[in-house]
Amino acid sequence: MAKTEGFFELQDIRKEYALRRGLLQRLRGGAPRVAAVDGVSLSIERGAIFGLVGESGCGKSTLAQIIVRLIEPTAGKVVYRGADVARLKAEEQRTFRHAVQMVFQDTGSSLNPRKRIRRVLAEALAARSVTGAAAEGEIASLMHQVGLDAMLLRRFPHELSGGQRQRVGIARALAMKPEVLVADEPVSALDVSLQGQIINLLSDLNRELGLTIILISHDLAVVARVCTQIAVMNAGKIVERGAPRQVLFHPTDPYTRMLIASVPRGLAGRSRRQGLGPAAVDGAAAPEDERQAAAD
Amino acid sequence: MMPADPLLRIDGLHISFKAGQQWRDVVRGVDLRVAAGEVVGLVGESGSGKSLTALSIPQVLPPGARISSGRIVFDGTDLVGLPRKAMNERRGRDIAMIFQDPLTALNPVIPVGRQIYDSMRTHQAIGHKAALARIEELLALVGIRHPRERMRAYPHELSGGMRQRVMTALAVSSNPKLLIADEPTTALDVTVQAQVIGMLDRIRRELGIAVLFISHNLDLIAEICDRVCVMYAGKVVESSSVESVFAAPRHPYTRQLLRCIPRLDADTGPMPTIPGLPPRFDSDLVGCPFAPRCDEASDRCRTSEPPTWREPGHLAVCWDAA
Repeated sequence: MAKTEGFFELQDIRKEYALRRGLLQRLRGGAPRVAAVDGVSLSIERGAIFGLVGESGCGKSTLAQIIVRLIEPTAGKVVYRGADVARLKAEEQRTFRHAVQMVFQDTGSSLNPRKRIRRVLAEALAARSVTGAAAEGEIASLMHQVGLDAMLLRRFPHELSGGQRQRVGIARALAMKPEVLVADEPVSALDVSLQGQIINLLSDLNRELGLTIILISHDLAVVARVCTQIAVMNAGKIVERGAPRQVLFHPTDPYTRMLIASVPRGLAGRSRRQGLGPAAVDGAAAPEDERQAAAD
Repeated sequence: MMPADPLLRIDGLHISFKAGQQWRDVVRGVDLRVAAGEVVGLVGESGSGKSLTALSIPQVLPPGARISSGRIVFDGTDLVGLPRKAMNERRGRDIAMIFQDPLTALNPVIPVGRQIYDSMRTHQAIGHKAALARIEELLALVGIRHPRERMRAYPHELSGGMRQRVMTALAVSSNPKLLIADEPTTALDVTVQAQVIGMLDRIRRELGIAVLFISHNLDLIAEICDRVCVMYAGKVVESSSVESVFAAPRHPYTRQLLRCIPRLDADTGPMPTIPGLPPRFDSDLVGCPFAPRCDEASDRCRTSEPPTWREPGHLAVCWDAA
């Protein structure tokens, strides 16, 4: 791993959407536009677990989709291993699509309800032209890798628990032998007792396979615990970045501070609330209030 | 030994689902007390029966579920087996409820102020002008700015946090004695969650309403609850004041649950987890249902049902609680 710089870079990424207005307005070209991602530049090192934190509507999922090329940015460049991914040739394009995989939040809708787990994995392997006995062997090792019993291969997605389905989602991504895994809120639909299992699995894969992981989450505590670098996103922009401890204990941006202050603190939060009457964060202007004010 | 009867007393509640030919107990003997003005937290993983327990109080259980035995004494009346008409009167007036998803609980084609207005005029003897003034007051209380203008908004015009505030205003508009809050902040962002919790806290202080707060996050429960009941596999396995549950949890499940909450501290490395999964509702339980996942279980735990350990104000169902 001689060259770590420039492994995966986002350069001034911008993604705009036209606000839907009347037909006439759209024809006149006067429809106002909103930037979901507003000039984001990031450099992700090979082998990192990079955390991207932000609340709903901040643009983090849009950014994830740009990273895996589900959507194209309005402006800016995604550079992978020194090459602008928008200008890849067909064959390189395929390699990129295999190398950068995504794990989704909602396992209920990202797995086909009519396909058994075996078929979900077999189809992923077939995309890499692995079939027959070779595929059988790989399916078994993938299941083992994500900590699932091979018995579950015969089941349909709805017969699995949320945590098990998320493991299948990870196994499907691993079937492509990826170098980068983008996980968009992989645990937010799971119970706290199970979140750790999935996060630890991602962490193990990072360590054992050298897989670069981009972990997108609204949960600062989860991200800070396992990531090597984190970035906080608000209103389409990166407002803070750095090592987890630095961001947690010395936040410089007011939004990051509010995010930290909002995390429930158990008994400490209780005394804070009772000591001050209304909680300290209650008075802070939340993005929601700003949105409300803007609408007024 | 309670000085007076609590506002809500649930004794030996069993709720069952029909699985094939037979009824299967999903809630297996829950006892629960909520005193007037008290805030009680109900915590557990999905499938622990916490939501079913809550839904059984206003008797809005999902189709296929039924209360098979037990008593739910609310304000001196047993609600189990109460005629539909008498139950309808209490529901929405004495017992109000807010849910995780306010969008499905609010009518999409009626302005939010009108929905509160209709509810108030149905449940209370209140005039037109007085109702309007009260709605404005309530919306201000739940932290909605410009309440007079906001009354005319439709649910889809409001953000998630705003909708949760409106639903709360609607719920407390009839001056209920008990507010059941079923994961009211789970779908919200953390900053908005903090605001909604602040709002619930203010409401309970200013209106003196008892709250049954359901959540899977103990840290959140600790912020506003007086007491907490931890549920596992359809039973309350530990119940105590929030302070003693945090300071000296008696049940290993509570201890392990507390360890799992992601906190903003200096810890790094693997996240603590509880291995395995909760038992499926259709499995036969022998011994302590938590034993297969418990890091302190002995042979006794796996074979015989644990006793209930009691101390004033504290209860735990575990062989090793003492």
